[in-house]
Amino acid sequence: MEMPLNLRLAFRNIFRNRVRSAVALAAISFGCISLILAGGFFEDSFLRMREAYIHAHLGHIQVYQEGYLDKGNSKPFDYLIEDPATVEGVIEGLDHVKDVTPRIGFSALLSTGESTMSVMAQGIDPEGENAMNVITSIKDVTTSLEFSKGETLGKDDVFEVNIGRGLARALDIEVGDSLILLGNTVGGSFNGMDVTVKGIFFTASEEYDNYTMRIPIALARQLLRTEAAQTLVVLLDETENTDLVLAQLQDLARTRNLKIEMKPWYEMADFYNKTVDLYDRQFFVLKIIIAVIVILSIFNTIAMSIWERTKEIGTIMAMGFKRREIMRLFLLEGSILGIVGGVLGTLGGLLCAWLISLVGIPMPPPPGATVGWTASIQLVPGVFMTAFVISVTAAIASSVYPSYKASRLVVADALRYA
Amino acid sequence: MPIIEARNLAKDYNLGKTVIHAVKGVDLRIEPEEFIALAGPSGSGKTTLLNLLGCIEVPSSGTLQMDGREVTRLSADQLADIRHDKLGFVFQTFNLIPVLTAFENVEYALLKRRLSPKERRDRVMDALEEVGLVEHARHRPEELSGGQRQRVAIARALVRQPEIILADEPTANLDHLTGGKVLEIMKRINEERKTVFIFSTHDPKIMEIAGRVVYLRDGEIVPAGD
Repeated sequence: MEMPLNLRLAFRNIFRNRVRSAVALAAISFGCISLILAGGFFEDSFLRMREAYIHAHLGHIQVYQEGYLDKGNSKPFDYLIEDPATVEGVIEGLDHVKDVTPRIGFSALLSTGESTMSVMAQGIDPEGENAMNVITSIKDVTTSLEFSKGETLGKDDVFEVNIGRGLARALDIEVGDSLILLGNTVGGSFNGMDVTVKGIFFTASEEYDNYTMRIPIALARQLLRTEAAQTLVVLLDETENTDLVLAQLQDLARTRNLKIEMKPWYEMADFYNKTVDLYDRQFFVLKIIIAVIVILSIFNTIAMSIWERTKEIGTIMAMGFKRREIMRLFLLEGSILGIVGGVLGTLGGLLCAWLISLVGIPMPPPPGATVGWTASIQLVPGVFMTAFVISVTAAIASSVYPSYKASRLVVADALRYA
Repeated sequence: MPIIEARNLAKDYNLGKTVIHAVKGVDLRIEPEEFIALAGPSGSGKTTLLNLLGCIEVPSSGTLQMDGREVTRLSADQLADIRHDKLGFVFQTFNLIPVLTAFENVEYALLKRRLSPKERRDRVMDALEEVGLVEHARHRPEELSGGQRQRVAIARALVRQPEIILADEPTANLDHLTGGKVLEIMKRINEERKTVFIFSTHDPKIMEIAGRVVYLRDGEIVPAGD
């Protein structure tokens, strides 16, 4: 089928002055590429931060005994899952669930003999937790929990513990040191254990590393004198399936009358949410700045190409074309320029993102973290779509004023234009 | 009933402190089927009068009727409709769209008409045949001679089958022989299709074949015999 005449005219007018059109297309494409790279970089930061939080601490969903979310903070031992194995079995039967691992957390005192500190002790199942710490979805990253000294807990460890790097520094602890861990049992009496440091870890969160130690859950249960679990941490195959599994879990709890409640990762990752919000605002401002730069860059080009066709506009108007039809013609040209520039920019953005990701961008540790990382550019359809829409919109916006002026010309004056 | 009737039609141009009275109170009746020339020296107001008659310039005062309908108070869009439905234009500098072929230039004039692709194509080819340019249909203006370009412009004016074609110095940019051929085409169209032609010109050849010559001097019609 033949292209409509108006579209043919618009296309040919764009390529009438090739150098000028090339400059305009370069400006649009450059803006589009900038947005793709900036957006892709932000998305990469979000992804790394999100996955680090999920795999190091939060899991995708945490399951608690009913009432824990409201009152668990003040009376944690009143809201324990008494039969964690049964609930674990039920959750593991759901689609997309990769792993379910129990935890029990409590405040304790950790003493080296010379100094004592209040710590957050986390009783974990080493096998389940190690599986959770593995990250497979991000390039150049394998784990969310790394060890500066020693190694992680294994399934055969009984009295071995892992200590956060900040905590180890504060108490001057080294691998192999013997420590005393003191805490209250579920019943309220005082209990203590001798433990040995097996490894010193660090995560993406400095705060976590400053106060946390990890101990085998069997040891924690022994110390607290309970067989229960406080939290069941659910790990999924993909973070994107969180809401789906959450809904299934809620259904399951209702139909099987399980006295449990749950919270997805995004309701717990406060720092992540605030960071995303902050970056989103920055990206919004960046989008406006780039759109304005594109508009200013191509406004003159579009205005020139319209002014020098003043006589043509007069001729078309003499043929009986109305003002809005003239305006439509030039807006069509602006749209085509934007679409061509947007397509070139999208392809250029893809290529640049691929090249940059191939090399990687060395980054310093983000606020609250202890390690730097190698950033890349994520190829996110939403970012590409946004960049494309902004390119086209900027090109159309640049055409509005010159098109309006052209459409307001007096026919005879336009025809006299030399 | 006259196809066009101007009464006391005037056009002033305000150039800062100076006002130019380009057309001063002209009375003119143009009857159907006329082949009329507006003649006069440069600056006599013939192009301005032609523009006023063609609804591409708004008069400062006076009235203009087309087929008995007063048009001087109409909006820009209403004037565009009149130009589209009743009028065709031929310009001294041809004013073809350089990025379109001869065929497309003519086709462009039909863009607002609801026609099937075949109907449109047939009408464009008929118009090009009328001016003897069928074999140049795929050529762009830059590939055509001045005479051929002007014939494309005539085909463009003709393709909508307007009642009136206004031509502003149509032969001024053509050599004697080519100009003569272009005029022959216009005369033939006038005779066969009864299309009214109004020229602004100082080409004696046009005045020779024109059914009526209206002389202008200093924006006024010079009475016959002066």
